[in-house]
Amino acid sequence: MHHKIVVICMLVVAIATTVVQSGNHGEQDEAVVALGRRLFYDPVLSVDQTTSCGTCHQQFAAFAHVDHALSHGVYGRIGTRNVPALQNLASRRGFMWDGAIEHLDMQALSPLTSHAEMGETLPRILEKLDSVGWCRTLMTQAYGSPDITIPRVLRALGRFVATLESRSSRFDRWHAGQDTLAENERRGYDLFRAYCASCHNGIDFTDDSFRSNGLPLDSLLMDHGRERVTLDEQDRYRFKVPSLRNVGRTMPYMHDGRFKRLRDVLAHYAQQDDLADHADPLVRSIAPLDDRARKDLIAFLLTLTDEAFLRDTAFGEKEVWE
Amino acid sequence: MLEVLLSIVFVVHSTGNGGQYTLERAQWYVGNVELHAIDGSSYRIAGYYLLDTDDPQSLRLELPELLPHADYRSLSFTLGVDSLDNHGGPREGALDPMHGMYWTWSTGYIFLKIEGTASASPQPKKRIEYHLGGFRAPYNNIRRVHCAMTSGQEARIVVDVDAFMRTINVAQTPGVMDVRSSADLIDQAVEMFRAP
Ligand code: HEC
Ligand code: HEC
Repeated sequence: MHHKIVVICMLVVAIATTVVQSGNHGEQDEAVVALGRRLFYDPVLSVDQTTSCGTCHQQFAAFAHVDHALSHGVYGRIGTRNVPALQNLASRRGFMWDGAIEHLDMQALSPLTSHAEMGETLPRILEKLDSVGWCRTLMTQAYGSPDITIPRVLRALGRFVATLESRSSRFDRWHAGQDTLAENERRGYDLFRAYCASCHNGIDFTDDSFRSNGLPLDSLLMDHGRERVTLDEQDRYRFKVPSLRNVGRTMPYMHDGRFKRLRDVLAHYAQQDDLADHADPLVRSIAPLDDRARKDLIAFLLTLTDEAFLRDTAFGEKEVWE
Repeated sequence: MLEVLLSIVFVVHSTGNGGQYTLERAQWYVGNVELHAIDGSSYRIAGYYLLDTDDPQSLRLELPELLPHADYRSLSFTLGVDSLDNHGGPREGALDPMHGMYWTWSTGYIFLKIEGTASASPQPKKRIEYHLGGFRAPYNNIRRVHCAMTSGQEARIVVDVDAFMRTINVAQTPGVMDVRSSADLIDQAVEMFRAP
């Protein structure tokens, strides 16, 4: 009996090891991440060499873009969506507000080539990377040979953003019994569990589903959300339930950045008469939230700020250039 | 006496159907080719080729030297990229997104591109652009193409773009760029591939 269990365990370990190895193709993970980080902060990847991933994804804002409702790309071009935070992506199932992208290592193709973001072509990116000295060196350290290829660039960017892990907020410490929450924060947490956790569920406060939280359509943007991906009318106006980690730093809010402050977000959920027809029933069942309830909820949301993450030098830009 | 099969050559047939359209470029993926011999045996060549009329050499697929000697009478291949390869991470070689055969705003490869101009096209400069591909439930545009072949050193497959264009109402559909519209045309595209 005991023997069997041991054998099964060994088998599982053996299988797990093979999977990891075959996934890596002999890559040096740390060096791949380092390459990804260098690329993330380098504006050379954009058509006019002004815009890096880090231009839109700022560390102090949990890699969202503070104060920009819609993204700003090369030549001052304005995009159609709000820049989301980048955190705990390895635990997510789909990427972008509508889940259009299923594989994190493929995600970078979109900003690199999108007209309103970095606006570059893949052949030109290779040419430019070929002409900078550091790229071959970092490629060799990461992949064992100096060849510069698009799949290598994509994998490195994907690996770097996958390391952006935020799980050490005051709330996490309280949850682990290592810190305290004030009474108003506790009350906020109770309200959150009652009204918000139906969608903002799990360790990252998202259930990874696509829903409508009742925002009326912006008639200029005409963003139909998830429908564009699934081509299913039922998904019209549905967007990804976003993680709420570091939400105190990622303003403005929602897929189109329509709310500047958390106060505005709470007013949206509390004033049920403004909800669009397509609002999910789970939003409709939120009880009217009075002023104190809203403040308590905000106090709770602010406990999700992870100062260590926002300052972690392993993710920062400064050290890249030193 | 059997001759050794050395290569598969794709021959693009595009006369313009009497001035109705002009083909500028066609590109398509050929994946996991399988050769079927008269004795019932078959031989599979795993992997992908990207064929491109701008690169005539790419239209000739050289087969592995160690191909078993047999009387091959038909072949089959995936027109496009099978679902497992479609949803993995970035790939080198023929599947490198560099080749522009990937929809960047949504996960998935373009399986076949036919581009040119047509007199009936309402698009600027009379452009026509058919980009077919994608695999996302409920739309699955992955197809296997089956073709008869004559024995010899070189198997030939005709890519009859004329036939494809005859099935399309250009004024109504001058272009296709997503998985759902691809679903309407993919079976016509499969019909394009035939023995000479
Ligand atoms: C011009 C601003 C801008 C630039 C530059 C930019 N992004 Fe983004 N990023 C966005 C926006 C806007 C979205 C959301 C897009 C959508 O939902 O359609 C996004 C989404 C993402 C996501 C998905 C996050 C999630 O939770 O779904 C990742 C990952 C990401 N970007 C990484 C990158 C990388 C890597 C680069 C550099 C190659 C980059 N971004 C460059 C604006 C930008
Ligand atoms: C029906 C599911 C659902 C419920 C219930 C819900 N939300 Fe949301 N929430 C969403 C969705 C979906 C979005 C994104 C909507 C968009 O951008 O169009 C969102 C966005 C947000 C945002 C903006 C985050 C950002 O990064 O832009 C905040 C903050 C938020 N919700 C807080 C709450 C709070 C607090 C509650 C409870 C009072 C709550 N939500 C209840 C689904 C829900």
